[in-house]
Amino acid sequence: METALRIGALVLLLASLAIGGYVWGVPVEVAQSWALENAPEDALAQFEAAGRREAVWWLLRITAPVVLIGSAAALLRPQPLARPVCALWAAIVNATRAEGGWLASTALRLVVAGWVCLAVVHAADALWQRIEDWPVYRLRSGQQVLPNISQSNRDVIRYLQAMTPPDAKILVLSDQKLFFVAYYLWPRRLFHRTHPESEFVIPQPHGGRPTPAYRREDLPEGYLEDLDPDFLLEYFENPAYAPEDRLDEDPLWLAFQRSRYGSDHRPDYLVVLHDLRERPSP
Amino acid sequence: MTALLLLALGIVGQWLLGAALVWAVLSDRVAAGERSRQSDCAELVGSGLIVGIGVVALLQFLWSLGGGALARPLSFALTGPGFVAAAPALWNGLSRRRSGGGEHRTRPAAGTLARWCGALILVLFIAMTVQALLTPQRFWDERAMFASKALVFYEDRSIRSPDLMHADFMQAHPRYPPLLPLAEAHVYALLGEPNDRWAKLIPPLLYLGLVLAFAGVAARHVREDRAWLFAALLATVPALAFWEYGFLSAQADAPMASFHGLSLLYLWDWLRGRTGTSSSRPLALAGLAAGMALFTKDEGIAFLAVDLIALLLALAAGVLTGRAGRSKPLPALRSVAIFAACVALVAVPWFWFRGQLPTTTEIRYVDRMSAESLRQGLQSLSWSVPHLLRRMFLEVMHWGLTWWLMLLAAVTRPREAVRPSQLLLALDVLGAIAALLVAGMIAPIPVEEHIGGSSHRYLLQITPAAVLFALGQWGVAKDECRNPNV
Repeated sequence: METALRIGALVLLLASLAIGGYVWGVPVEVAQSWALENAPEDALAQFEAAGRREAVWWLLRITAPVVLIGSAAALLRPQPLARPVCALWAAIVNATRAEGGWLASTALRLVVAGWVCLAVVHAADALWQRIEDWPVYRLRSGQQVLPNISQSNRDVIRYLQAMTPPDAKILVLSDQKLFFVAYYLWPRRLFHRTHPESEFVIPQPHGGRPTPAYRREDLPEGYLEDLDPDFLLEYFENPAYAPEDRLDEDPLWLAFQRSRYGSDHRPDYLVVLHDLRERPSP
Repeated sequence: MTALLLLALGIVGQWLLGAALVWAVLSDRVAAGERSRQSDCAELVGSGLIVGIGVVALLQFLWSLGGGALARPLSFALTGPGFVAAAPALWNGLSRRRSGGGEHRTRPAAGTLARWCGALILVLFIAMTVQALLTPQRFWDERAMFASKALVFYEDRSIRSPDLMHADFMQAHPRYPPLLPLAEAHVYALLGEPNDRWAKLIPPLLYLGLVLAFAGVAARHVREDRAWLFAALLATVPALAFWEYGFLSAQADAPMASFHGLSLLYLWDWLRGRTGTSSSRPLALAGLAAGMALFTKDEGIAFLAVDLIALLLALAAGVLTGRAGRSKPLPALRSVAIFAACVALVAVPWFWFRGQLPTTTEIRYVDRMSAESLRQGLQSLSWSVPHLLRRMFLEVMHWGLTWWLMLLAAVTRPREAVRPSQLLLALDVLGAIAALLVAGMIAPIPVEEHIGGSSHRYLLQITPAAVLFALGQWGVAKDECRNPNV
C-alpha cells in the first residue's frame, strides 16, 4: 500500500507541478485570448468562452498548489496515510455487509458503488455549472445582473429605475407575471390587479401563453383614488393588449429604448408610464 | 468586513441557541456515552443548526406579531444569549459527562469509516457553501415567494406591513409560510443591508444540520460505522447536494427536507428507544421540527397529517403485534399529544395570523377537496403515477438511487419493514406521495405542468425518510440489550 501511495503521490506531484507552473506562468488574459480563437464569432459565445477560461484558470491556480503540497507530504511520509486508507476499505466492506445474506450484501454494495459513481459525476457537473455561471454572475448582485428574466422585463426594470424615485408606489397594468420586476425595483412598491383567469396560469417563454389582464378602463370605479399610486405603468406584450398604434405612445420610453438599441429601434411591446403625482386632488 | 463578522457571530449564536434547546430537551440521551464523541457532537451540532434557524425565525414572528420591530437589535438579542448562556451550559454538561459523573461505561471511539465520512461531509458542506455564494438568487420561487417577502420584512420591520396585507401588492402566494423570509431578513439585519447572495448561507447550514443530525441520531441505535456511511449517502443525494434547485439555492424545498427530516429522525428515535425507559423527550423536538416544516412550506401541513396518521398506525401495529416497547396505549397516546402540542406552538400563532393575509394566487387545496373534484381528477392519475414512477426509478442519472435503495431495503428484509419505527417511515413516504397525487387531481393547473414541474422538488423533501428507512432495515442494533422488535 505504501508503494502504491508513493507512486500515486508522485504522479499527482508531477501533474500539479506542471499544471501549476503552466497556469501561473501564462497570464489569464492570454488564456482568454486562446479561448476566443476557438469560440464561435457570436458575441455572447465569445463572452462566455472568455469567462469560462478565466474561471478554469483561477480554479487550477488555487487547486494546483494545494494538490502539490498534499502529494509532496504523501510522497515523503506515506505511512500516516497508508493505514487509514487500508482501514477505510475494510471498514466499507464491513459496513456494507447486510444482514440478509450474501445476496443482500452484494445488492447493497452495488447500490453504494453506483451511488458513489453518480455522486462523482454530479459533483463534476455541478463544478462545471459553476464555471459556466462565472462569466454571467461573477461577484455581482442580482440587481446588476437581472438573471433569468426576459429582455423585455429587463428593459422595463431599467426604464423604471431611471424614471421613478426609489420610494415610488407604482400600479402596473400588465399581461405579464411581474414578480421579478417587483423584486428588482425594490424599494419601489408595485401593485398589480390580478385577473382571475390568469391567477394560476404558468407563463411560457417569449409570450407563448397569453394571459388575460386588466386594462385601465377595466379598473373599478374609485380604485385609483383608493390605491393612490405615484405612477401608473401600462406594460403589455400580447398584441391584443398592445395595438400597433400605441407602441410609440410614451416618448420617454421610445427615447430610452433608442438610446440602447439604436435610433431606428421601435419597441414591439407596449410600455406607457403615467406620472400621477401631480394630478388634482378631488 | 465588520458586517460579515457580525453575520458570522449571529450565525454561531443562532446555532448555540438551537444547541442549547436540544441539550435542554435531550441531554441524557445526547451524552449517554453510548456513541463516540464525534456522534454526540454531530447530533448537537446538526440538530442545533436546524432548531436554531427555526426557533429564531419563530421568535421573530412572535415578536412582530406582538407589535415589536424586526430590526438589528432584535437579531442581536436573539443570538446573543447563545454565547452568554448556552455555551457555558454546553461546556459544563459535556465536561461533566467526560469526567464520568455517574457514567461508568467506556465511551467508544469513532471508527475509521465514521471519521472519513465526517471529513467528507465537512468538505461537501464547504463546497456547497462556496457554490451557493457564487450566484445571487435567480430562480422563480426563491425570488418571487421568499426573498421578496424578506425585503418587505427587513424594510418595514414588521410582518404586518400594510403592503403585504394588500391583495394587489406584487407578491406570489401571500399566505405562504414565512420561516425562510424571516431567516433571510435576520441575515439582512445582521449584515445591515439586504443582500440575497449572503441569504443563501441558510440552506447549506440546514444541509449540514440534516446530515449531522442523521448520523448522530442513527448512531444511537445502529452500528456507528453504518450510521455514518448512510449519512454520507444522504449527503451525496444528487437532488440535495449538487442540483441547483436543492441546497445550492434559497428555494424552500431543501429546507423542508431538513425540518421534515429532523422531525422523522426523532419520531424514529423515539420508536426505536429502549423498552421500559421510554422518554417522550424526542417527541418534543420532533413536534417542534414538524411545526417548523409547516412554517416553511404548505407541504408541511400534508406531511404533518401523514406523520400523525403514520405514527398512530405504527403504534397500533406495535400494540396489536406486541412488537413494540410502547405496548401500553395510554402512555403512547400521551406521548403523541406532546408531539402535537409542540407542533401547535408553531402552528397556532401562524394559522391565526395567516387568516388575515390576502388569498390572491392561493390554490386553497382544502377548499377544493370534495368527492366531486376527486372524481373529476381521477383521470390525472393516468399521467401523474407513471410520471412519478419514472422520476423515482428510471431517471437515476438525474435524481440518484434513493428510491431503489429504499425498495431494495424493503424487499431484502421484509420482516423488519413492519416494525413500528420502520412502518412510520414507509407510511410517511407512501402518504406523502399520495398527497402529491391528490394535489395534482384537484389543482386548477394542468397536471403535466403542476406535478411535472414540481415532483422532483417534492421528492427531495422526503428523501431523508427513504435513506433512514434503508438504514433502519439494514442497521445492526447496537447491543443485545435492545428490544429487537422496535
